[in-house]
Order: sequence, then C-alpha cells, then structure tokens
Amino acid sequence: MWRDVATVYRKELRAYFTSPIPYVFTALFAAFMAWRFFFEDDTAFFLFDKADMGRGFFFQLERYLIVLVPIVGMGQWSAEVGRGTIETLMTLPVRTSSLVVGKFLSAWTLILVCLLATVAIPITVSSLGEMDWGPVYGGYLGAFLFCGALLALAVWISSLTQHEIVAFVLTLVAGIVFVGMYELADKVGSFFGPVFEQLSLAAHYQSMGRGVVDLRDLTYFVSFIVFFLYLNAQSVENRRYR
Amino acid sequence: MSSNNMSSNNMSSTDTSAAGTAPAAGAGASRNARIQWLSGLACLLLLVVLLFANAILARASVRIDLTEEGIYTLSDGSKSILNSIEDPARIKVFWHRVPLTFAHTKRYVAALLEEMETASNGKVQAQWIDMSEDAGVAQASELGLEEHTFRVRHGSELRRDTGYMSLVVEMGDAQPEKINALANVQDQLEYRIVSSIFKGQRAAPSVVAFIQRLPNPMGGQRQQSRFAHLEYQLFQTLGRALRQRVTLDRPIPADVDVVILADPRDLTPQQVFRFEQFLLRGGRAIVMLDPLDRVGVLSPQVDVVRSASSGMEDWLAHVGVTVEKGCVVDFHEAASCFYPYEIRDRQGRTLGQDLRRYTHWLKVLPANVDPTNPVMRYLKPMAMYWPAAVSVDQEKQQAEGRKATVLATTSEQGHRRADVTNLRQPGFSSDGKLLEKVPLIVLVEGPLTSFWADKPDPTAPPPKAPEVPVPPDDADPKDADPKGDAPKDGQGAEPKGAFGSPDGDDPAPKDAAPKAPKKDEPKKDDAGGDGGDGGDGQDAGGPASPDGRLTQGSLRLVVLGDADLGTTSFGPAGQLALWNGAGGFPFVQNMADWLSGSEELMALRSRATNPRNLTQLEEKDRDLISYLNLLLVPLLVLLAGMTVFIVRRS
Repeated sequence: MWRDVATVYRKELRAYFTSPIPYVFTALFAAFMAWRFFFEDDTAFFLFDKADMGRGFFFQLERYLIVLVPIVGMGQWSAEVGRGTIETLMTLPVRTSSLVVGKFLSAWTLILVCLLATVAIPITVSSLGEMDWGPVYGGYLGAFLFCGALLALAVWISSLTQHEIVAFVLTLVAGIVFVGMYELADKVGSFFGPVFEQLSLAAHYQSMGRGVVDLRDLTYFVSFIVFFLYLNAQSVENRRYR
Repeated sequence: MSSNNMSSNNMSSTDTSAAGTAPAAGAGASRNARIQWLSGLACLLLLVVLLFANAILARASVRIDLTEEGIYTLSDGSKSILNSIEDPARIKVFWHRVPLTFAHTKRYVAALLEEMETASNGKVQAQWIDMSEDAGVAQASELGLEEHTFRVRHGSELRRDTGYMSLVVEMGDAQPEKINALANVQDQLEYRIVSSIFKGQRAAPSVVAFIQRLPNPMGGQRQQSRFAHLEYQLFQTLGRALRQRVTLDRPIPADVDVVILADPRDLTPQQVFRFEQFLLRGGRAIVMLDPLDRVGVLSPQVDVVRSASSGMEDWLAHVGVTVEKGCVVDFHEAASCFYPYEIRDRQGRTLGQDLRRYTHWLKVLPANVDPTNPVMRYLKPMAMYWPAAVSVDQEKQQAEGRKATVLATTSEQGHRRADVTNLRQPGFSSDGKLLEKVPLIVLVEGPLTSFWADKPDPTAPPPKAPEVPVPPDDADPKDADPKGDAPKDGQGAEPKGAFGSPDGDDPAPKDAAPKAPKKDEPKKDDAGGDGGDGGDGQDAGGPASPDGRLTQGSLRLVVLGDADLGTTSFGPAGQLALWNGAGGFPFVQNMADWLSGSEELMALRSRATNPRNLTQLEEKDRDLISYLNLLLVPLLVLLAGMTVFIVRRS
C-alpha cells in the first residue's frame, strides 16, 4: 500500500510544484504573516521589545490557516470530478485508501512549505535576543497538526461535491465551527462545555503553542486526521456505486 | 483499515459481476445499499474506537516540556522536597464557574498536582472538589476563599461573572494555606504549593520582619510605600511568618529571626542600637541602603542629587563595611539596563515612551557573583538602580575574626562615579575613567563586639538629676527646678525617627512572647517583651553587660548598596521585570530564606522566566529588518518558482 501512496504522493507533489500557483500562494502567505508580525499595531513585534514570538503569532496563524487550508484542500476531489478525471483516477491499479492518503500527504506537504516560509520570523527574533525556542517548536508542531486535521476535513468535504467553491465554503464553515467550539464552550453549560473544549481544534493547538507536547493533543489530532481520511476513503469508494 | 479492505474487496467483486453478466437492477441496488450501510457502520465504529482511545489517553499525563526552563514541569528541587516530606498533605482544588478560556490553567494545575502526587510517593493528595453541589461552594466559603471575577463576552456585551479558581493546602493541624486566583499566580504556583508543604513540615517557620522607610504623611494621608510591592510578594510567600509592623522604635520582637531593613534614613542611635541588639542575639539581617537621595531624579527639573544619611554609617564602619557616596555605573553592554525615556514634542507633550540603555542602572551578571553562595548561584538577572559601592575593610574583618564575602560586583567595566550631578545626562562615557570591578553586595559573618560596648546605652533612661539642695532663704526661687527630674540631655528623649511605627503610635510588639522551639533550630530562651531594650533575647546571644544589654554576639549581615531593587518606583513591576530582569524581589526573598535556613526553596523561586529583551536598534535598522522579512522570503519563493518555470519551458 505505501508504495502506491508514495507514487500518488510524488505525482501530486510534482503537479503542485510545476505550477506557478503554489509559489505565488506561498510567497503571499509568507509576506502576509511577516506584515502582520512586524507592522500591525496589535502584534507589532518591536513595540513589545521582547525576544518572544508570544502566543500572538501562533494565534494569528490559526486564524489564517482556517482560510489557507480550505484553499489547498478544496480541489482535491471536487476538481477531479469537475474535470472529469475522477473516472481515470478510479481505474488506476491502486487502492482508494492509497489515493486518499497520497493526495492528503501531498497537500499537507504544500502547507508545510507555506509554514516553513514563515520560519524567517523566529530566526529574526532569535537573532535579536535570547529567544526560548520551545514555544516556537511547539507552536509550529501544533500548527502543522492543526493544518493536517483541517486538511483531512477539507479533502473529505471536497469528495462530497463537484464544486470547488462549495467545498471551500463548507470547509471554511466547518473549520470555524471546530475552532469556534473553544469560544462556545463557555456558553453551553457545564456538561457540554468540556465536550466542546475537547472537540475543539483550537484548544489542542493553543495548548501546544505553550511549548508543551501533550500525548492527549497528539492523540486528538491523529484521531481527527484518521477519522476524516477514513470518511474520505469511504466517500470516494461509495462514488463507485452511484 | 480492515473494514476499508473489506469494502475494497466487496467493490472488486462488484466490478467483476458488473463486467460479467448483467445482474438484475434491484439486486445491484440492494447490494449497493448494503455496502453503503456497512460503510456507515464502519465509520461509526471507527469513531467509537477513536473516542475511546482519546478518553483512555486523557488519563495519561505524558508530555514533553519544550521550554528552555522547563516551566511546565515540576522542578528537581520540588521533587526533592516532596520526596522527603513526612506528614501527609492534602490539596483541595476549587474550580467553579471558571470560563473555559482558562482551560490551559486548569490543565497546568492538574498536571502539576499529578506530578506532585507522584513525587511525594502519595504523601500529597490532590482532590478536585465537586462544585456542582452546594456543599462544594459552602466549603469554599467556609474556608474563606475569594471568588474571582471574570470578564466574559456574551455576544457583543462584556459581563462580569464570578467563580472559584483557588486551592487550599492542608497539613495536619496547621492553618490551611489558601491560594486564590490561580491563573494570576501560575508562574509561582509550584513554589507556593511546595513552600507551603515545606513550611508546614516545620513546627515553627522562621519569622521575617520587613522594616521599611515609610513616606512622610502628606496632608494627613499616607502615601503608599515604594516597597509595597515587595512587601506584598513577601507576604505572598511567607504568609503569617512575615511581620510587617515591626519598627526600630521598640526592641525587635523575640520571635523574629530575620530583618529586612529597606532604605533606612537618619536612624537615631537608639534605633541602630536596637538593630544591633537584634543581631547580637543571633538575628540575621539584610540592609538595603540608598546613599543617594534621588527623589525626582528622572524629572527634568532635578539635576543635583543629594546624599542621604542612613544614620548607620558609624555602626557600619565599626563592622568594617562602608557604603560609599556617589554611584556606580557599569559600561559593559550586557550589564546596563533599560531606561524609560519619554518622547516629547517641541511643546513638551508626551508622544510616547522609548527604552534606552542606561549605565547608571546596572544588571548583576551571573559572571560577577559569588557562585559558592546559594542565593547568588540561583540569582536571575537583577537590576540595581544607581547603586552605591559597598567596600569592606578586610584587615579589620580578619583582625576581629569575621569573614566578609563580596557576593556581587559590577563587571570589569564598572566605575565609581563620585560626581552625581545630572544623572540623566545621556552619553556618559567611559573615556578616561578608572574601570574596575566594584563591589555591590557584601556578606559579613562572624563575632561582633557591640559598638556600644564601652559606651553608655543610648536607650537607657537619663540619669536622675542630683538632688537639688535646699536653697538658702536668700536664693532666687526661679533658679530651682521645682520637680527636680527634668532630662538634662536628649539621650533619653528619643525622637520618632523615619523608622518609627507606621502609625506613629505603634503598640508594644504583639509577637514578643517566646514561641515553641523549631525542629531544626536550637531552642532560644528569649526574654522578649518590653522589659528594656537590652532584654530582647539576651540569653541567645553573647555576654550581657551589667545593664542587661548584649555586648558580644555573632553577626550575619548582608549589605546592599541599593534599595531600589525592591521597589517599583520606576515603572510597574511587570514592565521593570520585562526591561531589566525580575531578579530583585526573588533576591530579597531568597536571601531571607537563606538567612533563615530555608535554602531548599531557592531553586524553586528562581524558576521565574528570564527577561528576553531585544538588542536595542535604531529606527532605521528596525525598519530594515521588518522590510527584509516582508520581502526577502517571498522574493526567494517567487524566484524558485520562476526558475522551475524557465527550466520546464526550456
């Protein structure tokens, strides 16, 4: 199976990086994050005079990833359906699960490249003062897993529709719900509150942003990814019977 | 995955059958429906399994703390203390109606308590009180816990809600230690809990008296002391072991073990005498001296800085210590602190604040402290503001059998600045100046003979005037004192000094009664009480003179050439810590702990995070860095994209 996954992964990745769009996309994302970090008043780095990324950077990152990830994930299956290439894809001598995992990993890699494009910011900060890298490592790991979870959701939703815009909007809404649950947890009573908190992507992501890698957070993200990839595989599989 | 394989196998058979004979449409639809139903069931099963796995693993507290100082992990010092406790302790957590935005605090508290339970081999037990029942709230109220106020957003409205976010440490019959507003004290929580447990193990914790120079009352209203924040911090960590109303107008109570004397000014001989008597009976002290009277030094109107007298100069010289006039600067870049400089326009209106390096505020660097002293070993970056040099007469110390240790100095680029006019002057350079390591903090230990050993007791009542002979009949009656007992000099009529009681009418020390001996200290058979200035514990010290005062004893004294490190006079504590280091308060607390024999707690308190200031840059350099970040990486990415595009085209 993993050989098939690697084949699909390489093919998808090659398709990404031979197109100009990911480069423009990554450049814009890196520029936007740098602008937010160094120039915006509410996060302006030099204003605080502290060699610390703070949670501000990763809090901001979370907001933008809710938009970025659906953009990457929206076309994973719906574009194949829209272009009519899904039938060709289904005739390939590989399992559906390999297709799903390969596509997912390649998209996740693209997002990883976007995240890595912002690494210049912590490097700059550390060159200007004695920065604690722990929260930065935790924050980036959390962001990577957060993206993975959101991407798994995005590719599943993408497999349910043939319109990329619909997939994007639905993923955006779902992402906001899964992140916003953390805010809502206060307002839904003492029973549902902790449930919302546990289900929220934001709670686990922000916990890692402190610089603490907790097994509970890892388990949550892995479970989230596995579940939605499974749903994705089932959804693609069921397409054969329609 | 197995169900997925199953689906794939089913699918393959479906394909085969589709390619072969055409089945009846109804049978195909039925099979498809069954497959889809099985697929849904598999998803549901997977969800259950994953939820179950999450629920199981939620109980396991396995985590990696990536922070440099391991601030989310129980320190080795705490583990050692908890591992050695004998009496069990119970920690009750009251968590009620706390917004879930504090979930991280809750998680941190839970993890910390779990680690404490493990480290103590079960001697410490944590209990989360069920607050859904009224009994939980009633218990919190009974224990006197404070309700915390939270601002919670309800739609567009910001409301105030209240709830409990506290814990209580209970140990046997001891008074429970209450810690409220856990989110606010999260940085100190480990220290607070472990120190409570540690101190609870001791029959009687060491008592620390904080004696400070209080501001002069103005218009009948007392201003807040500039040491109020330090006093609060001391109270937070020492609790009932802190005496805040001790003054030098009366003998220091017998149960006091350590005195922190903050910025003494114009002490009378009587006050210094009482302080010395306290030391001679075995007391230990930290004296924070500020020889510069620099009120308003940051104000543009004040250019000349006056010298101030502590009233202790002669006594300190007797001990062999001199706090020099003037101020010390340090030209080492890493040792200079930041100074909040106000940016004003031409009309003098404040536009904002900028930070500049200021060599008159200096940072004690780890390389310049005595590492053999545990307090200095654990010292975090500590700012001193216009400190004075503290020099020691080593020959005198040796001759009298004492040991004087310089605990902290400036860097090699330190300088004694005798001229203290215009301290705000920018660009004070090191050109042509004598640069050397200047001592800033000194510890003196060893035998001490009283400064008043061969002098009259300054606190003794004045001798009665000799009986006035009956005047001859022809004498002028105006020449005679009708009562005959008026004081002839001011010695017995002691004025209330700056270190008088906070209210000016402080009653006799309430704590003068002897207390139970401590487990780890020899019994002190203190006399205590008000029975004379020399009667505050003579038996514990050296020999007493016939009039009851101590003339010899053992000294343990720390002298600092700065008191401002214990203040927040130059900005809020948080900002000061951010700019210049948070080490001042922990230093005083640690020194008090060390002097009272509680070294174990130092490593815990010193876990406060380091300030991580930026290298100071010019405005244009900041802009350059910002624009480089904004443009460089995106341009590189675009360049990579173009390269790929060109290669493919060619």
